[in-house]
Order: sequence, then C-alpha cells, then structure tokens
Amino acid sequence: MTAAQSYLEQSSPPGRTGWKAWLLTHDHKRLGLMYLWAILFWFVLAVILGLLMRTELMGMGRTIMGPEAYNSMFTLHGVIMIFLFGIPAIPSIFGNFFLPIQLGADDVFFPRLNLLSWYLFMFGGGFAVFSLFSGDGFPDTGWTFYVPFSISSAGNVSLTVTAAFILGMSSMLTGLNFVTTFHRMRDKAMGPMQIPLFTWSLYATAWVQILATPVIAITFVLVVLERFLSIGLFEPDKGGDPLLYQHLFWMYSHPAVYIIILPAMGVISEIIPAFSRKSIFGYKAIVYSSLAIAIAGSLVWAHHMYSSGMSDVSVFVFSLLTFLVAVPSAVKVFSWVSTMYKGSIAMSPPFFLSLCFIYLFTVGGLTGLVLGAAGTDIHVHDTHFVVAHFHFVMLGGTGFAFFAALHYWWPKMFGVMYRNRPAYVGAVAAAVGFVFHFVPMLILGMQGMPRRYYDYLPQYETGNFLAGFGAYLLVFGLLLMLLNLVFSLRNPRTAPANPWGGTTLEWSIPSPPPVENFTDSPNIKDFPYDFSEIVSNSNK
Amino acid sequence: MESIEEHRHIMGYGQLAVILALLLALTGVTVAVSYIHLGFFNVPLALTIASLKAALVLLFFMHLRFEGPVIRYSFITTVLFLAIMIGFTFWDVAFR
Amino acid sequence: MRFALGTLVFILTLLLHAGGGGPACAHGPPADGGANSAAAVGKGGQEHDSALSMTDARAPKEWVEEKTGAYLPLELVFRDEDGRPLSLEGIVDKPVLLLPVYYYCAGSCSRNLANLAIALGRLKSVPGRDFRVVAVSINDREKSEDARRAKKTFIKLAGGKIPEGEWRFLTGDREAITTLTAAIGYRFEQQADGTFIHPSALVAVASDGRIIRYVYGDFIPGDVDMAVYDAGRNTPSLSVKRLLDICFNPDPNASKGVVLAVKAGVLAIFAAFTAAVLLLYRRRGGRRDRNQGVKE
Repeated sequence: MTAAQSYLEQSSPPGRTGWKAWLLTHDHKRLGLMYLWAILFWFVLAVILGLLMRTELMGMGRTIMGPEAYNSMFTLHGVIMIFLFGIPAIPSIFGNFFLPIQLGADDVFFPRLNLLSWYLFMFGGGFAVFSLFSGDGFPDTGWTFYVPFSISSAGNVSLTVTAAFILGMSSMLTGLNFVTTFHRMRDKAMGPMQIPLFTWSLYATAWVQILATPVIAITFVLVVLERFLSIGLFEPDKGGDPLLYQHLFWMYSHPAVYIIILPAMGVISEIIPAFSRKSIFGYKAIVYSSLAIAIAGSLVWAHHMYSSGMSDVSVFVFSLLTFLVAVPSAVKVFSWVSTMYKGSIAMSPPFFLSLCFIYLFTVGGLTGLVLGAAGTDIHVHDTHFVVAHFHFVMLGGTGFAFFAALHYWWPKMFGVMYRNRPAYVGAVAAAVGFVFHFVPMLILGMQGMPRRYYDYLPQYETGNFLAGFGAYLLVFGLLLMLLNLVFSLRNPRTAPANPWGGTTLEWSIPSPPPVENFTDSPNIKDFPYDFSEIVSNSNK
Repeated sequence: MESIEEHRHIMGYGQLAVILALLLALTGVTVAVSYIHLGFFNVPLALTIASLKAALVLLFFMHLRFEGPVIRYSFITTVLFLAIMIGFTFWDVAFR
Repeated sequence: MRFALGTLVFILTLLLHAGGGGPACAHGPPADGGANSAAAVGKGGQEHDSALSMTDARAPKEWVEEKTGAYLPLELVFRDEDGRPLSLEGIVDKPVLLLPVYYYCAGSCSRNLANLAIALGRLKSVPGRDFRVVAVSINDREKSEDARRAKKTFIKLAGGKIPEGEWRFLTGDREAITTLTAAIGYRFEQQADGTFIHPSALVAVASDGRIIRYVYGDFIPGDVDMAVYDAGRNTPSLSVKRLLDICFNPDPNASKGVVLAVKAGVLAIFAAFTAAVLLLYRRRGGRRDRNQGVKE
C-alpha cells in the first residue's frame, strides 16, 4: 500500500491541495479526523477544569478559588463535556469515519451537509469560548441553566445558550445524515440484520438526535427571549412556570445522555467479539435493545425533577418508566459477557478498556436505579451521589468506550501501530484513579454532601481529600493514553489492514483507507460477526 | 443506490389548486364556526379542522401520500414523539 | 497564518477583559452602596425589585443579638394605623409577636409579612386569643397612612384567621425606633438611596414585655407555634437559628485571579494543541495545514 493512495493524501473532491483540501473536504474520513482534533481539545480543556474543581474541593474553605469562580468552573466543565465532547465524540468522529464503510458505501448521503455540521460545531465552540472571554464572564448557573437564576444572572447566559443552540444544529444534521445513509446507501447485499452493531447503535442515536435536539434549541431561544424581553414564560412573578423550563430542558437532556451512551455501547459491541474471537451473543437482542433504549429513554425525562415540586402523579409515572429503561441496558451487558464466555480471549488495549467499561457502566447503571426510584432519590438528590452516578456512566462508560474506540480504530484511521505498554499503564491508571475518585463521592453523597458547592462541612473533608488523589491519577492515565496515541503518529505507516482480526467491513480495506473506501466491491458476509475465517486462518 | 429508481409522482397544478381551495374552504368553516357558541366544544372542533388542514398539507403539498413506507413511518414517529412530550408533561400540570 | 491572527485576536480580547473580572450577580448594589438604581439600569434592565433587598456581602455577621430574657421598654410610644399615639404597654398585655419591617420594603419584608399572614392560618395556637401580632416600621419616615395600607393588605392575606384588632401596624419617630430595636438586639442600616438592609426576624414577647424567643427566616408555622407557646408560659427559650434571610451578593471583584488564570489556560492549551497538530502534519510534507484558528 503506497502512501500516496490513502485518504490522507488524496482529497475528495479531487484536485484540491493545501488547507482547502481539508477545510472544504467532502470526505467523511477527513471530517472524522477534523472532529477528532477539535473534540480532543475540548476534552483536555474540560478535564483540566475538572481537576481545578477537584483541587478546590480537596481542602475546606477557599483553597484556590472562591464561590463565583467555582460556579463558573462547573458550568464550563458541564457545558464542554456535554455539548462539545459527550454528544459529538463517538458519532461525529467514529460514526462519520466508519458508518459509511461498515455499510459498504463510499460516503454519507449528504457529504456537504456533513461539512456544514463540522463548521457549525467549530462555530458553536467558538461562541462558547467567546462567552468565556467577553462581558461578565462565563455563566455560573450550572450547565442546566435553571430559571429563574439563568434569567437574571449577569453572566453570558445568552451567548452560551446560543453556542449550545448552534452545536445542536450540528448534532441534528449529523443525525439526519446517518439516518439517510443507513436507509439509502447500504450495499445491496446487506440486509438490516447484517448491519454491524456499531452502525445500528448510531442509527438509534441519530433518531434521538433528530427528534430531541429541537426541543433544547427552542428552550434556549425562549430563555434568551425571557432574558431580553421578559415575556414571562418562566418567571413566576410574571405568571410563568419555572417547572416548564425544567420539563423542556430535560426533555432533550435526558435523551441526550442516551445519545452519549448508545454509540459507546455500539463500540463495545464491536470490540468484545473481535477479541473473544467469537460471534456476538444475541445480535438481534442488542439491535432491539438499542432501539428500545432510544425510545424508552425519551419517556423518562422528569426523573430529574422528583423534588422540583411537580405533581405526585408525575413522580410516580416517571419513576415507573425509569425502571423500564434499565432493562435493555442490562440485556446488552448480559450479551457482552455471554460473548466472552467460552471465547478465545486476546488481550489488547481496546479490549481492556472495554472490560473497564462493562464494570464501570454497570456500577453507574445500578446507582441509577437508586436515583430512578423516587423515594431514594429524595435523599440523594443534588448530592455528590448524583455526580458520581453520572460520571460512572458518562466517563466510566462513554469516556472509556471513547478511548477503547480510539485504540481500536487508530491503526485503521492512521495506518500506525501505537505502543501497547503505555496504553495499558494509562488505562490501569485511569481505571484505578477513576474508582478512587468517584467511589468516595458516592459515599459522600449518601452522607449528605451537596453538589455544586465550593465548600463543605468538616465531616466531608477526608472523603474529598482522598478523592482528589484519585482525580490526579485518573487524569494522568487519560493523558498518558492520549500522548501515546499522538506520539504513535510519528511511526511509519506499517499497520496491516486487519491488525485485530475484526470481521466488519472496515477491516477488509487497507489502513489507512483509500478515498473511495472500497477499491473492489465489498464482500458482505451473511452475518457480520462470522469469525470462522479468522479462527481458521489463525489455526494454520 | 435504490432511491433513484423510485417512482416520482408530480402533482399537476390543477390538483394542487383543488387542495388549496379545500384549505381555504376549511378556513372559512373555522371562522364561521367560531361565531357559534358551543361552549367547551369550540376548542376540539377548531383543533379537528386544523388537524384536517394540516393533514392535507402534509399529504399533498409535502408529498407524503406518494412516499414510501420509510418516510411515512418516520413522520408518524415524529408526531408520536411530540404527542408524548406534550402528553407526559400534563401528568405534572394536570395533577398539581 | 489565520490561526496566528485568530490567536492574536483572542489574546487582545483577553487583555481587554482582564480588567472586567469574573462573573457577577446582576442583583447586588455596588460595594459602595450608592447609585442602586443606576447600576440596575446599567446592567440591562433585568432588575427585579428583589435587587433592593440584597445586602452588601461585607455587612456585619451578627444582625440580631438575641436578648432573650430582657424586657422591652414598654413605655415607648408609637403611632397606630390611625395616627393616634399608642404606647407598647397598651398592646403588650398578652403574648406578642413583634415584627420589625418597613412598609415600602421591596424585598423580604413583604414576603415575611405574607408568610406570617399565611402561617397564622396554620397554627395550633389561636391568633387573637393566645397572642397578638405587632408590626413596627423601622423607617422613621413612614407615616400612619403607610401602616394603614399595609394593614389592609396583610389582614386580607390572612384570610380571616386573625381578628383585625389583633394585628397592629405601628410607625414611630427615630428615637422610639432605635430604642426598641436596640432593646431587642436588632441591627439595621439605611442605604444612600433610602432602602434598608435588615434581617428577617420576629420576636416573641410575653405579656409582661419579656423577650422570650426569636424566630427567623420564613416563619414556619411550627416555629411560630413554639414561640407563642413559650411566650404564653413566659419561659425564655432558645431560638432555632435559621439562616438569616440575607441574600448572598457575589462580589464581582473576588476570584478575578482564578478566572484570569483560566482564560490564560484556555488560550495556552489551544495554542499547544494547534502547535501539536501543525507539527505532526508538517512531517508529512507540509501539505496539510490544519487551520484551527479560524472560528467563524
């Protein structure tokens, strides 16, 4: 494979050179890379902000910052992690790169719309940065922007929610692209039950992106209108209802966390079979559970509002529905574990990270049950228990799956192999640091330490101090993995087409892939996880 | 790509005009009915007529009548989603 | 080229706003306490009346010094709602809930009076029979018409749960007010624009004028009941020290250093990232010039 022929050298549309070849590209693979660099920037930034917050919490009283700064920190950390990392990370990077390839297509259905999505992403991010530097500084409302405080707060609320609006547009267009590509650009030989599970999870995610994102977009528009025109929609003084805002906000933001986790689960569904040398257990169950999570996850938003003052009927109904959502997720965990059973396990960094995912996500899901049950939620609402729960599922879940995807697909995307040892060391450090950081938070939360406070009562000091050490270890591990990957780009491009023995279509093309993806027509198997060939080849 | 071979149905100006006339007529009905006092039923009646008009626009002006099942089901999913969002919120509002 | 320009723009923006400082609550009056309305208008007209009830964050911590067990100066004379002179002795002949407020208070006073009005309907003790309520204005410039108006509002709010004659609204001259508030240990401050900073507290006083108990915050019926009960038995007791109802006014000048550090850090990380990406791709023959500085 000569270097001149891969997508890294050849532009689409053809003939462009220099920066135009990237900034005006139609190639979904190049767009995936462009998203990658931007998203890694946002991730590192938000991680450092988190570290600053954790450092502040390590000591009682004012350690390095006061309450105003702390409030802005957690708002910024939340906004970046949710809107600029969590939601776009796996779909926009790996989805853009691999969804068309896994379907046997040469690009997405709307390549130029894809480019627009990227520009909207950068534009929205720019807005967010601008709101950090201009006027009264970044808002201190929390990423949830609850009214009435967000209506009257002096910080740049309007700018920040506009940034979120623009990022939402990017998300919607990506979702639209994926749904259309899924339906219209599949290779003719590939029926629905032959589509890889990563693509299925992206399909379910794309639906949620399309349907739910407009809700938050309009909600933020209403907040801006309320701020400037005092229309009285949310302000009680003017006859409005602050709970209306909460309903509207969570109507998107709960499905948003499923946007965050579903592609991650799809990644795990790819990695586990590949390194167990065994077909995935329960392919159909995983497909239906992905769709079920997307649907059921859109029904349960008010479980964030149990103590907000809404009606008891609501509390009961939403608590009941929340229990339903746990079921499809559990189905997936059972399927992954069953896949590994009696498989031929080959350890590798992506597989190790996937194992971490399974454990951490399960713990996160179980703590979610405590929060989903209205009775127990009353005790731990707005404590660090909640913070620990969502970090377990979003960092322990999607975060680790993101790193697993990075390690799994890095050779394919760049044609280089990274060194395994730093990857393992980083992964272990991250996992151990994660546990030492967030398990104390679960305990502190149950003991009553409120969240979003820069200071606390003396009895919480020990837990916070210890948790701080875990935080530093976690960040060390994450950065080590990232640096290892980035430095591997200096290696020669010697990665084989199929370094891991995967069976989906991206492993049948060279690393890195050519511009048109498939030089010969793709060889669609009857079942996407048929390892018989791989196994027989390795037996020779 | 399978989409290119899909059967395209072009609606003639005449047919579109008929739909337009129907819509205008229904608008007239809405206005006329608003002068009749039916108490509570004014609202559901007005909503029904509006839904009928929306359906006409969707089916003909927006071509849903002639699209394949994928697009139709996609649209119905969206409507269902909206219904859930508004409906579930009423569990809160109605029982406070 | 463009990324350099973009970074330059960001650095300039940073320098421009280095003087601006961190986030600030729209409500608080500036630290010097004056020009309250001017500041409010200047911040974009998002003000609500509650802005006026916010206090300076550097106000003294102890707004109420509990003088439980001491006696009220019952000889003090105030004016009642009709403008007639009325001495405290005349109305403190059964347990009294004494509430220092002022009738044009745009913030917490109305809320406190309203809370009390509503709480009166939920008490186990019977207003009028077991106790009386006396609201006293701390603003010596307020007249009996103001008291009358307030009485009308809050009697109505109480919805018939207290006989009209049992909730008095008094006004007085400065000397009487300062003597009374000193006796109950209640501190307040008048601001340049005429509004007051003051805590939310009511004092339960026994029928002989002895100070029995303080009730703070939102006047929960349970607390009020306990205060009335203790006043009825003339046994001074400990108050439940609820949070004094003073708004947290974020100081815009605090944490400027940290926020500045964050801004600088963001730029630094951005610069580092761009440099790293450029360096990486320069090795590939310079054909790829990732331009991350352009954020249009």
